[in-house]
Amino acid sequence: MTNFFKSSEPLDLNEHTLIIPGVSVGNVPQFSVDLLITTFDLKKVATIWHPGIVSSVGNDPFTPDSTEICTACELYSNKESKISAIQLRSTLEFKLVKNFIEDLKSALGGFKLKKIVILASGFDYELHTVSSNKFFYVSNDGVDKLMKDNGVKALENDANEKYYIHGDGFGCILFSILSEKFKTTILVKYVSEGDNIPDAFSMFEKLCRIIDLKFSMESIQIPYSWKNVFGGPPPLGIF
Amino acid sequence: MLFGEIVEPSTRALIYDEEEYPNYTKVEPVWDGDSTLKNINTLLFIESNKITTLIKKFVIGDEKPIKKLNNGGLKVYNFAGDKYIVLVEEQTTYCNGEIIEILKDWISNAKSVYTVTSDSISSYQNNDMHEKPEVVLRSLTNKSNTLGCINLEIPNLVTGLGASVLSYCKHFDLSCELFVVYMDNSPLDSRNTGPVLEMVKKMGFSVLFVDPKHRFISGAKIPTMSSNLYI
Repeated sequence: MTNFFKSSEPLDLNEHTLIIPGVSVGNVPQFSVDLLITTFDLKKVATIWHPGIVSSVGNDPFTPDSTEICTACELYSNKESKISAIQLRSTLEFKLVKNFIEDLKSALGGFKLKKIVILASGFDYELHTVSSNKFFYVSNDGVDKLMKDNGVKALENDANEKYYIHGDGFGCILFSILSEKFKTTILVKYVSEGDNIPDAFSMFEKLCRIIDLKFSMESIQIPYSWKNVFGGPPPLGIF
Repeated sequence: MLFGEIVEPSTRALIYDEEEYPNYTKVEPVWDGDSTLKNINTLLFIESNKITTLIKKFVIGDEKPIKKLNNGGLKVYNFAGDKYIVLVEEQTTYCNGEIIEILKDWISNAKSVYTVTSDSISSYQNNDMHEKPEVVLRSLTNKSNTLGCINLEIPNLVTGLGASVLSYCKHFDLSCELFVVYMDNSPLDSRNTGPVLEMVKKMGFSVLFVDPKHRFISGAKIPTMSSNLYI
Protein backbone atom coordinates (compact mmCIF):
# COMPACT_ATOMS: atom_id res chain seq x y z
CA MET A 1 0.00 0.00 0.00
CA THR A 2 1.44 3.38 -0.96
CA ASN A 3 1.23 6.36 1.40
CA PHE A 4 1.24 4.16 4.49
CA PHE A 5 3.40 6.73 6.29
CA LYS A 6 2.95 10.43 5.57
CA SER A 7 5.30 13.03 6.97
CA SER A 8 6.09 16.66 6.30
CA GLU A 9 9.84 15.90 6.09
CA PRO A 10 11.57 12.88 4.55
CA LEU A 11 11.48 9.98 7.01
CA ASP A 12 14.79 8.60 8.17
CA LEU A 13 14.50 5.42 10.23
CA ASN A 14 17.84 3.93 9.20
CA GLU A 15 19.56 2.15 12.11
CA HIS A 16 16.55 2.92 14.32
CA THR A 17 15.08 0.51 16.83
CA LEU A 18 11.32 0.46 16.22
CA ILE A 19 8.93 -0.28 19.09
CA ILE A 20 5.43 -1.51 18.19
CA PRO A 21 2.78 -2.09 20.87
CA GLY A 22 0.23 -4.85 20.53
CA VAL A 23 -3.31 -4.23 21.73
CA SER A 24 -3.50 -6.62 24.63
CA VAL A 25 -4.56 -7.20 28.24
CA GLY A 26 -4.73 -4.01 30.28
CA ASN A 27 -3.40 -1.96 27.34
CA VAL A 28 0.02 -2.36 28.99
CA PRO A 29 2.06 -2.15 25.74
CA GLN A 30 0.29 1.07 24.69
CA PHE A 31 0.84 2.63 28.16
CA SER A 32 4.53 1.65 27.93
CA VAL A 33 4.89 3.35 24.55
CA ASP A 34 3.25 6.47 26.05
CA LEU A 35 5.99 6.48 28.71
CA LEU A 36 8.67 5.97 26.08
CA ILE A 37 7.37 8.93 24.03
CA THR A 38 7.21 11.34 26.96
CA THR A 39 10.38 10.25 28.78
CA PHE A 40 12.66 10.20 25.74
CA ASP A 41 10.94 13.12 24.01
CA LEU A 42 9.98 11.28 20.86
CA LYS A 43 8.41 13.64 18.32
CA LYS A 44 5.50 12.84 16.05
CA VAL A 45 7.08 12.42 12.61
CA ALA A 46 4.35 10.75 10.55
CA THR A 47 0.72 9.79 10.45
CA ILE A 48 -0.30 6.30 9.39
CA TRP A 49 -3.35 5.55 7.26
CA HIS A 50 -4.70 2.10 6.54
CA PRO A 51 -8.35 1.01 6.16
CA GLY A 52 -7.70 -1.69 8.77
CA ILE A 53 -7.09 0.81 11.57
CA VAL A 54 -10.18 1.45 13.71
CA SER A 55 -10.09 5.24 13.64
CA SER A 56 -10.17 7.46 16.69
CA VAL A 57 -9.34 11.16 16.87
CA GLY A 58 -8.76 13.55 19.73
CA ASN A 59 -6.47 16.35 20.76
CA ASP A 60 -2.76 15.75 21.29
CA PRO A 61 -2.61 13.61 24.47
CA PHE A 62 0.90 14.78 25.36
CA THR A 63 0.37 18.56 25.18
CA PRO A 64 -2.32 20.38 27.16
CA ASP A 65 -4.24 23.08 25.24
CA SER A 66 -2.85 21.85 21.93
CA THR A 67 -5.00 22.24 18.84
CA GLU A 68 -3.00 19.59 16.96
CA ILE A 69 -5.17 16.50 16.53
CA CYS A 70 -3.93 12.98 17.06
CA THR A 71 -5.18 9.99 15.14
CA ALA A 72 -5.35 6.29 16.02
CA CYS A 73 -1.96 5.33 14.63
CA GLU A 74 1.10 7.57 14.47
CA LEU A 75 4.86 7.27 14.23
CA TYR A 76 7.09 8.94 16.84
CA SER A 77 10.85 9.22 16.62
CA ASN A 78 13.98 10.60 18.27
CA LYS A 79 16.86 11.16 15.85
CA GLU A 80 19.61 11.33 18.49
CA SER A 81 18.81 8.13 20.35
CA LYS A 82 17.63 6.43 17.10
CA ILE A 83 14.46 5.17 18.76
CA SER A 84 11.12 5.17 16.95
CA ALA A 85 7.72 3.97 18.11
CA ILE A 86 4.37 3.38 16.48
CA GLN A 87 1.58 4.31 18.87
CA LEU A 88 -1.73 2.55 18.23
CA ARG A 89 -4.59 4.11 20.22
CA SER A 90 -7.43 1.87 19.08
CA THR A 91 -7.21 -1.53 17.41
CA LEU A 92 -7.35 -3.17 13.98
CA GLU A 93 -10.35 -4.48 12.07
CA PHE A 94 -10.37 -8.27 12.42
CA LYS A 95 -10.65 -8.97 8.68
CA LEU A 96 -7.82 -6.54 7.87
CA VAL A 97 -5.28 -7.52 10.57
CA LYS A 98 -3.11 -9.61 8.22
CA ASN A 99 -3.47 -7.06 5.44
CA PHE A 100 -2.36 -4.24 7.76
CA ILE A 101 0.68 -6.16 9.00
CA GLU A 102 1.74 -7.14 5.47
CA ASP A 103 1.42 -3.48 4.38
CA LEU A 104 3.37 -2.37 7.45
CA LYS A 105 6.11 -4.87 6.59
CA SER A 106 6.40 -3.59 3.05
CA ALA A 107 6.29 0.09 4.16
CA LEU A 108 9.09 -0.56 6.68
CA GLY A 109 11.05 -2.41 4.01
CA GLY A 110 12.20 0.95 2.64
CA PHE A 111 14.23 1.62 5.80
CA LYS A 112 17.31 -0.11 7.16
CA LEU A 113 15.90 -0.69 10.63
CA LYS A 114 18.29 -1.96 13.28
CA LYS A 115 15.60 -4.09 14.90
CA ILE A 116 11.95 -4.23 15.90
CA VAL A 117 10.67 -4.83 19.42
CA ILE A 118 6.99 -5.76 19.76
CA LEU A 119 5.40 -5.30 23.18
CA ALA A 120 2.58 -7.59 24.28
CA SER A 121 0.77 -8.69 27.42
CA GLY A 122 -1.15 -11.84 28.28
CA PHE A 123 -3.55 -13.06 30.97
CA ASP A 124 -1.45 -14.10 33.93
CA TYR A 125 -3.89 -16.80 35.06
CA GLU A 126 -2.48 -18.74 32.10
CA LEU A 127 0.86 -19.11 33.86
CA HIS A 128 1.39 -22.50 35.48
CA THR A 129 4.09 -21.29 37.82
CA VAL A 130 3.32 -18.23 39.88
CA SER A 131 6.45 -16.18 40.39
CA SER A 132 7.40 -12.54 40.52
CA ASN A 133 9.03 -12.73 37.10
CA LYS A 134 6.35 -12.57 34.45
CA PHE A 135 8.41 -11.47 31.43
CA PHE A 136 8.90 -13.75 28.44
CA TYR A 137 10.28 -13.28 24.95
CA VAL A 138 10.54 -14.76 21.48
CA SER A 139 13.21 -13.46 19.11
CA ASN A 140 15.10 -14.08 15.89
CA ASP A 141 17.77 -11.57 16.94
CA GLY A 142 20.11 -13.77 19.00
CA VAL A 143 19.34 -12.02 22.26
CA ASP A 144 19.31 -15.06 24.55
CA LYS A 145 22.13 -13.89 26.80
CA LEU A 146 20.81 -10.32 26.99
CA MET A 147 17.39 -11.62 27.97
CA LYS A 148 18.80 -14.06 30.51
CA ASP A 149 20.84 -11.26 32.09
CA ASN A 150 17.67 -9.20 32.39
CA GLY A 151 15.59 -12.02 33.83
CA VAL A 152 13.39 -12.57 30.77
CA LYS A 153 12.56 -16.19 29.96
CA ALA A 154 12.16 -17.72 26.51
CA LEU A 155 8.55 -18.49 25.65
CA GLU A 156 7.89 -22.10 24.75
CA ASN A 157 5.96 -22.93 21.61
CA ASP A 158 3.06 -25.38 21.54
CA ALA A 159 2.85 -28.85 20.00
CA ASN A 160 2.26 -27.29 16.55
CA GLU A 161 5.51 -25.28 16.80
CA LYS A 162 3.42 -22.11 17.13
CA TYR A 163 3.51 -19.43 19.79
CA TYR A 164 0.23 -18.57 21.45
CA ILE A 165 -0.26 -15.98 24.19
CA HIS A 166 -3.81 -15.79 25.51
CA GLY A 167 -4.78 -12.11 25.60
CA ASP A 168 -2.07 -10.72 23.32
CA GLY A 169 -4.44 -9.82 20.46
CA PHE A 170 -2.48 -9.76 17.19
CA GLY A 171 0.97 -9.73 18.86
CA CYS A 172 2.02 -13.22 17.74
CA ILE A 173 0.95 -12.77 14.11
CA LEU A 174 2.69 -9.38 14.09
CA PHE A 175 5.86 -11.13 15.25
CA SER A 176 5.57 -14.00 12.79
CA ILE A 177 5.11 -11.69 9.75
CA LEU A 178 7.66 -8.99 10.69
CA SER A 179 10.31 -11.54 11.71
CA GLU A 180 10.32 -12.82 8.10
CA LYS A 181 12.09 -9.60 7.10
CA PHE A 182 13.50 -7.90 10.21
CA LYS A 183 15.38 -8.73 13.38
CA THR A 184 12.38 -8.91 15.65
CA THR A 185 11.78 -9.58 19.33
CA ILE A 186 8.45 -9.83 21.12
CA LEU A 187 8.53 -8.94 24.81
CA VAL A 188 5.56 -10.28 26.74
CA LYS A 189 4.42 -9.53 30.26
CA TYR A 190 1.69 -11.60 31.88
CA VAL A 191 -0.62 -9.27 33.80
CA SER A 192 -4.00 -9.08 35.48
CA GLU A 193 -6.56 -6.61 34.21
CA GLY A 194 -7.07 -3.64 36.54
CA ASP A 195 -4.86 -0.68 37.30
CA ASN A 196 -2.10 -1.60 34.87
CA ILE A 197 0.05 1.51 35.29
CA PRO A 198 2.60 -0.37 37.49
CA ASP A 199 2.79 -3.04 34.76
CA ALA A 200 3.45 -0.31 32.20
CA PHE A 201 6.29 1.05 34.34
CA SER A 202 7.89 -2.38 34.71
CA MET A 203 7.52 -3.11 30.98
CA PHE A 204 9.02 0.29 30.15
CA GLU A 205 11.93 -0.40 32.51
CA LYS A 206 12.54 -3.84 30.99
CA LEU A 207 12.33 -2.45 27.46
CA CYS A 208 14.89 0.25 28.25
CA ARG A 209 17.31 -2.36 29.58
CA ILE A 210 16.85 -4.57 26.51
CA ILE A 211 17.39 -1.79 23.97
CA ASP A 212 20.07 -0.14 26.12
CA LEU A 213 18.35 3.16 26.85
CA LYS A 214 19.71 4.94 29.93
CA PHE A 215 17.13 6.34 32.31
CA SER A 216 16.40 6.79 36.01
CA MET A 217 13.04 6.27 37.69
CA GLU A 218 12.97 9.99 38.55
CA SER A 219 13.29 10.96 34.90
CA ILE A 220 10.14 9.14 33.81
CA GLN A 221 7.56 11.61 32.52
CA ILE A 222 3.87 10.78 32.97
CA PRO A 223 1.77 11.68 29.90
CA TYR A 224 -0.75 14.48 30.45
CA SER A 225 -3.65 12.33 29.21
CA TRP A 226 -3.12 9.80 32.03
CA LYS A 227 -4.88 12.24 34.38
CA ASN A 228 -8.17 10.78 33.20
CA VAL A 229 -7.37 7.09 32.94
CA PHE A 230 -10.05 6.41 35.56
CA GLY A 231 -12.55 9.01 34.33
CA GLY A 232 -13.33 12.58 35.26
CA PRO A 233 -14.39 14.04 38.63
CA PRO A 234 -17.56 12.65 40.26
CA PRO A 235 -20.80 14.63 39.77
CA LEU A 236 -21.62 16.85 42.78
CA GLY A 237 -25.09 15.33 42.96
CA ILE A 238 -23.80 12.13 44.54
CA PHE A 239 -22.67 13.96 47.71
CA MET B 1 -23.23 -18.81 36.83
CA LEU B 2 -23.03 -22.33 38.20
CA PHE B 3 -21.24 -23.35 41.38
CA GLY B 4 -17.72 -24.36 40.46
CA GLU B 5 -17.87 -22.77 37.03
CA ILE B 6 -14.59 -21.22 35.95
CA VAL B 7 -15.08 -17.63 34.88
CA GLU B 8 -12.15 -16.30 32.89
CA PRO B 9 -11.48 -12.59 33.35
CA SER B 10 -12.02 -10.29 30.39
CA THR B 11 -10.14 -7.19 29.34
CA ARG B 12 -11.02 -3.63 28.36
CA ALA B 13 -8.44 -3.84 25.55
CA LEU B 14 -10.01 -4.29 22.13
CA ILE B 15 -8.60 -7.72 21.40
CA TYR B 16 -9.79 -10.61 19.22
CA ASP B 17 -7.43 -13.20 20.64
CA GLU B 18 -7.66 -15.52 17.65
CA GLU B 19 -4.96 -17.97 16.65
CA GLU B 20 -5.70 -17.47 12.94
CA TYR B 21 -6.63 -14.30 11.10
CA PRO B 22 -8.39 -14.48 7.71
CA ASN B 23 -6.93 -13.34 4.40
CA TYR B 24 -8.67 -10.18 3.24
CA THR B 25 -11.26 -10.47 0.49
CA LYS B 26 -12.37 -7.20 -1.05
CA VAL B 27 -16.12 -6.74 -1.53
CA GLU B 28 -17.01 -4.64 -4.57
CA PRO B 29 -19.44 -1.79 -3.82
CA VAL B 30 -22.94 -2.07 -5.29
CA TRP B 31 -24.24 1.40 -6.17
CA ASP B 32 -27.74 2.45 -7.06
CA GLY B 33 -26.67 4.64 -9.98
CA ASP B 34 -23.05 5.48 -10.76
CA SER B 35 -20.51 6.27 -8.07
CA THR B 36 -19.34 9.67 -9.25
CA LEU B 37 -20.17 13.02 -7.65
CA LYS B 38 -19.26 16.16 -9.54
CA ASN B 39 -18.82 19.75 -8.40
CA ILE B 40 -18.72 19.11 -4.63
CA ASN B 41 -18.63 22.28 -2.58
CA THR B 42 -19.76 20.90 0.78
CA LEU B 43 -19.72 17.24 1.81
CA LEU B 44 -21.40 16.52 5.13
CA PHE B 45 -21.22 13.06 6.75
CA ILE B 46 -23.97 12.32 9.26
CA GLU B 47 -23.88 9.32 11.61
CA SER B 48 -25.38 8.09 14.91
CA ASN B 49 -29.11 7.52 15.45
CA LYS B 50 -29.92 10.84 17.09
CA ILE B 51 -28.18 13.06 14.56
CA THR B 52 -29.53 10.99 11.64
CA THR B 53 -33.09 11.36 12.96
CA LEU B 54 -32.61 15.08 13.41
CA ILE B 55 -31.11 15.72 9.99
CA LYS B 56 -33.70 13.55 8.24
CA LYS B 57 -36.52 15.56 9.81
CA PHE B 58 -35.12 19.09 9.77
CA VAL B 59 -32.82 19.18 6.74
CA ILE B 60 -33.59 16.33 4.34
CA GLY B 61 -37.38 16.27 4.72
CA ASP B 62 -38.97 14.72 1.62
CA GLU B 63 -35.82 14.81 -0.53
CA LYS B 64 -34.97 11.54 -2.25
CA PRO B 65 -31.40 10.21 -2.21
CA ILE B 66 -29.50 10.71 -5.47
CA LYS B 67 -27.24 7.73 -4.78
CA LYS B 68 -27.27 4.68 -2.55
CA LEU B 69 -24.52 2.27 -1.66
CA ASN B 70 -26.77 -0.76 -1.47
CA ASN B 71 -24.33 -3.04 0.33
CA GLY B 72 -22.88 -0.29 2.51
CA GLY B 73 -25.81 1.51 4.21
CA LEU B 74 -25.01 4.90 2.68
CA LYS B 75 -27.47 7.38 1.17
CA VAL B 76 -26.42 10.58 -0.56
CA TYR B 77 -28.66 13.67 -0.83
CA ASN B 78 -28.02 16.74 -2.96
CA PHE B 79 -28.90 20.32 -2.00
CA ALA B 80 -28.49 23.54 -4.01
CA GLY B 81 -26.51 21.74 -6.69
CA ASP B 82 -23.16 21.47 -4.95
CA LYS B 83 -23.91 20.55 -1.33
CA TYR B 84 -24.16 16.88 -0.37
CA ILE B 85 -25.20 15.00 2.74
CA VAL B 86 -23.94 11.44 3.19
CA LEU B 87 -26.18 9.63 5.65
CA VAL B 88 -24.59 6.63 7.34
CA GLU B 89 -27.01 3.99 8.50
CA GLU B 90 -26.38 0.64 10.14
CA GLN B 91 -24.17 -1.50 7.93
CA THR B 92 -22.05 -4.56 8.40
CA THR B 93 -20.49 -5.26 4.99
CA TYR B 94 -17.77 -2.65 5.21
CA CYS B 95 -15.70 -1.29 8.04
CA ASN B 96 -15.22 2.49 8.21
CA GLY B 97 -11.77 2.34 6.61
CA GLU B 98 -13.18 0.49 3.61
CA ILE B 99 -15.98 3.09 3.25
CA ILE B 100 -13.33 5.83 3.16
CA GLU B 101 -11.43 3.94 0.45
CA ILE B 102 -14.69 3.78 -1.57
CA LEU B 103 -15.47 7.50 -1.08
CA LYS B 104 -11.92 8.90 -1.19
CA ASP B 105 -12.41 10.66 -4.55
CA TRP B 106 -15.38 12.58 -3.16
CA ILE B 107 -13.45 13.59 -0.05
CA SER B 108 -10.43 14.69 -2.09
CA ASN B 109 -12.55 16.76 -4.50
CA ALA B 110 -14.78 18.49 -1.93
CA LYS B 111 -14.00 22.10 -1.00
CA SER B 112 -15.35 21.66 2.55
CA VAL B 113 -15.72 18.36 4.40
CA TYR B 114 -17.73 18.18 7.64
CA THR B 115 -18.76 15.24 9.78
CA VAL B 116 -21.28 15.21 12.63
CA THR B 117 -21.72 12.45 15.18
CA SER B 118 -23.11 12.14 18.70
CA ASP B 119 -22.34 10.34 21.91
CA SER B 120 -23.81 10.05 25.38
CA ILE B 121 -23.14 12.98 27.72
CA SER B 122 -21.91 10.47 30.32
CA SER B 123 -18.94 9.61 28.11
CA TYR B 124 -17.83 13.25 27.92
CA GLN B 125 -14.89 13.96 30.24
CA ASN B 126 -14.03 17.40 31.53
CA ASN B 127 -12.07 18.01 34.74
CA ASP B 128 -13.54 21.48 35.17
CA MET B 129 -17.15 20.39 34.76
CA HIS B 130 -18.84 18.81 37.79
CA GLU B 131 -22.36 19.26 36.46
CA LYS B 132 -22.80 18.49 32.78
CA PRO B 133 -25.28 20.49 30.66
CA GLU B 134 -27.91 18.81 28.48
CA VAL B 135 -25.89 19.28 25.31
CA VAL B 136 -22.18 19.75 24.72
CA LEU B 137 -21.03 20.53 21.19
CA ARG B 138 -17.31 20.22 20.44
CA SER B 139 -15.19 20.11 17.31
CA LEU B 140 -11.91 18.76 16.01
CA THR B 141 -10.22 19.98 12.89
CA ASN B 142 -6.91 19.51 11.13
CA LYS B 143 -6.97 22.98 9.51
CA SER B 144 -8.97 26.04 10.56
CA ASN B 145 -11.99 26.07 12.84
CA THR B 146 -14.41 27.84 10.49
CA LEU B 147 -17.60 27.58 12.55
CA GLY B 148 -16.13 28.84 15.84
CA CYS B 149 -16.95 25.73 17.88
CA ILE B 150 -14.94 24.92 21.05
CA ASN B 151 -12.20 22.30 20.60
CA LEU B 152 -12.74 18.86 22.09
CA GLU B 153 -10.69 18.57 25.27
CA ILE B 154 -8.16 15.88 26.18
CA PRO B 155 -8.73 12.95 26.88
CA ASN B 156 -11.99 12.66 24.90
CA LEU B 157 -11.76 10.61 21.72
CA VAL B 158 -14.18 10.30 18.83
CA THR B 159 -14.60 7.07 16.87
CA GLY B 160 -16.74 5.98 13.92
CA LEU B 161 -16.88 7.04 10.29
CA GLY B 162 -16.42 10.72 11.17
CA ALA B 163 -13.14 9.88 12.88
CA SER B 164 -12.08 7.91 9.80
CA VAL B 165 -12.89 10.86 7.52
CA LEU B 166 -10.88 13.27 9.69
CA SER B 167 -7.97 10.80 10.00
CA TYR B 168 -7.91 10.35 6.22
CA CYS B 169 -7.97 14.14 5.67
CA LYS B 170 -5.20 14.65 8.23
CA HIS B 171 -3.06 12.02 6.54
CA PHE B 172 -3.53 13.42 3.03
CA ASP B 173 -3.46 17.09 4.10
CA LEU B 174 -7.09 17.80 3.18
CA SER B 175 -9.32 20.08 5.21
CA CYS B 176 -12.01 18.56 7.48
CA GLU B 177 -14.02 19.59 10.53
CA LEU B 178 -15.59 17.03 12.85
CA PHE B 179 -18.39 17.91 15.27
CA VAL B 180 -19.44 15.72 18.15
CA VAL B 181 -22.65 16.35 20.07
CA TYR B 182 -22.78 14.92 23.59
CA MET B 183 -26.43 14.52 24.64
CA ASP B 184 -28.32 12.85 27.45
CA ASN B 185 -31.03 10.30 26.74
CA SER B 186 -33.93 12.74 26.84
CA PRO B 187 -36.13 13.05 23.71
CA LEU B 188 -35.08 15.46 20.99
CA ASP B 189 -36.50 18.91 21.66
CA SER B 190 -35.76 22.53 20.79
CA ARG B 191 -33.17 22.83 23.57
CA ASN B 192 -30.99 19.91 22.64
CA THR B 193 -31.41 20.16 18.86
CA GLY B 194 -30.92 23.95 18.60
CA PRO B 195 -27.08 23.99 18.63
CA VAL B 196 -26.89 21.22 16.00
CA LEU B 197 -29.32 22.91 13.62
CA GLU B 198 -27.54 26.25 14.04
CA MET B 199 -24.29 24.56 13.07
CA VAL B 200 -25.85 22.89 10.00
CA LYS B 201 -27.20 26.30 8.93
CA LYS B 202 -23.69 27.76 9.18
CA MET B 203 -22.51 25.01 6.82
CA GLY B 204 -24.89 26.41 4.21
CA PHE B 205 -27.80 23.96 4.49
CA SER B 206 -31.39 25.16 4.90
CA VAL B 207 -33.30 24.03 7.95
CA LEU B 208 -36.92 23.13 7.27
CA PHE B 209 -39.91 24.60 9.07
CA VAL B 210 -41.36 22.14 11.55
CA ASP B 211 -45.06 21.88 12.25
CA PRO B 212 -45.33 22.75 15.97
CA LYS B 213 -48.18 20.25 16.32
CA HIS B 214 -45.66 17.44 15.98
CA ARG B 215 -42.99 16.45 18.41
CA PHE B 216 -40.48 13.63 18.29
CA ILE B 217 -39.49 11.00 20.74
CA SER B 218 -36.59 8.78 19.71
CA GLY B 219 -37.46 9.15 16.06
CA ALA B 220 -41.16 8.26 16.40
CA LYS B 221 -43.65 10.90 15.31
CA ILE B 222 -46.26 11.53 18.01
CA PRO B 223 -48.98 14.08 17.26
CA THR B 224 -49.68 16.42 20.17
CA MET B 225 -53.22 16.85 21.50
CA SER B 226 -55.21 19.88 20.39
CA SER B 227 -55.87 20.70 24.04
CA ASN B 228 -54.23 19.77 27.32
CA LEU B 229 -57.51 19.17 29.14
CA TYR B 230 -56.80 15.52 29.91
CA ILE B 231 -53.02 15.70 30.55
